Amino acid sequence: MAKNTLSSRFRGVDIDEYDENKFVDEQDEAAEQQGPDACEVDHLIRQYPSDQWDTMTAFHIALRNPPINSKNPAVKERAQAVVLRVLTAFKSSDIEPAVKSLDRNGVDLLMKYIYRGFEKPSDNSSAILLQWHEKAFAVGGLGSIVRVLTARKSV
Amino acid sequence: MSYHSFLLEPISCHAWNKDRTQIAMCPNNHEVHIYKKEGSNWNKIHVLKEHNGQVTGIDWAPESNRIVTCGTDRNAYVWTLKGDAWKPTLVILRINRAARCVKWSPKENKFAVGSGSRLISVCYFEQDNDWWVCKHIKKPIRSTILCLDWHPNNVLLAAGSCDFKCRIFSAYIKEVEEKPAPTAWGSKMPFGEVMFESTGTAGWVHGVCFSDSGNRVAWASHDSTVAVAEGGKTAVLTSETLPLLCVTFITENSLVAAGHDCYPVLFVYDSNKAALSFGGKLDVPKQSAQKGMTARERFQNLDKKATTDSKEAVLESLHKNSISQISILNGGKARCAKFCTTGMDGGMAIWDVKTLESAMKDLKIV
Repeated sequence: MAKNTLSSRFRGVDIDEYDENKFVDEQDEAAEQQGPDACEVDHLIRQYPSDQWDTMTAFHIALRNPPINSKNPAVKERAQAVVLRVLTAFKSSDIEPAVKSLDRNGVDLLMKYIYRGFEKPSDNSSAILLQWHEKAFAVGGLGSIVRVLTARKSV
Repeated sequence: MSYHSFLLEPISCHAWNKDRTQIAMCPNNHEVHIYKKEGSNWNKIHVLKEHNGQVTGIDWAPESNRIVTCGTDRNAYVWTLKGDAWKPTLVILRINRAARCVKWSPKENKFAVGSGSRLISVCYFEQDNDWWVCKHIKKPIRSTILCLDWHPNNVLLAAGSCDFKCRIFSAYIKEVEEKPAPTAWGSKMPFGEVMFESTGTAGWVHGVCFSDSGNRVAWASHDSTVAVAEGGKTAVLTSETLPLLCVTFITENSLVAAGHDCYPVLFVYDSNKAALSFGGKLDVPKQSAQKGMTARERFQNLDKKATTDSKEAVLESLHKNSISQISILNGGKARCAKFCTTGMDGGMAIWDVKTLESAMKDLKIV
């Protein structure tokens, strides 16, 4: 084995940054993409036991305004946390009608959030996300998963 | 539908001669094999050995009977039939990466090669030097060109690229042709001018096709979408299937595309609403031989495969692996009657549009 595989601390320069043919995505404006409104979503979730339809509204609000063009990781983290809360708040039987109420773009967006949620699993999140994944897959098919993988601007 | 399996290797690319009796194809190696249909057999009549790398594109000019091939060895050869053998002529493309696709122009006086060097080489024959020369289209291409298609006016060229865009360039070469008349894509067409750049789809553009009139361009992208652009409007259709690799118009309003799902699919474009819709799956009808399962088989399945489904793990489509290329056999892009698909399973299938229309009840080819 070569000696320099031991430590790469001496590699101080990222030469890919200096490659003149490096592909840089076009910069779209970040616009007013602050992610979904957390307070409104919280309020609706708290009312869940009494009114089932509030979670549906919370769900739709959570999926509005995705911070796709934002370069601020904090905004994206916050949006992800909000969506995860809403997804967790749903009862298993309500998942299917919620997914059916989405249009094509909504299903793709939901898939993006689901896969983002898979990246950082917490106690119960994987099981819930898998349930959502199954229902979203039934509607979106392999195409929606391919779009998650090929999207340049992630949620 | 007829299906012929040539070899076990994938067919990298194929091209038909004018009367569709001979097919030139590359069985995933450095050679090009030409097969001739004699009766119901396909016999190999020629093997073209000149490339040092995999042959990635073949096109056969119907009128002048010349074959152009391009490969990963960064070369292209133009083959002419002299007597009983095909003789190659090297074309210097001046690229430093592999060539990916090649297409003769409609008048066959030039051809375009897309390559990994992030440029398109448009080559034409210079009579004085008795030599093929090429001009490059570089800007604003930022990645490999995967597919090309010429507009019927012999000047405009549609190119799909790995930088997620489908573009229409002008490939006007003043040495071989007159100034072109204005088209739906613009009137000023100096060489290398970008007449159209796509928006609305992400993912590498695997296949691109002009319609017969040239007023519409369709492209299939790796994010499982297919799109049609006409007159400034783009209609995008996202599908639930795996990405499509090749697309072609069979009438002015209908497209057939095929890809990793191993069966061709029909799409219909409505120009009034500028909308694209799914028309139907074109494939052999499913064999619904549902034999009953004994209790023993059911438990065995549950044990081995954790499911009580009696579905076998065998693809029911005609092609057993991804379809990589689709070509029109007769009828042209306006009224296609037959088209051919080749794929990674080494097989070639010929599809008859009339038979498909009558077999699939909801299919309507407008």
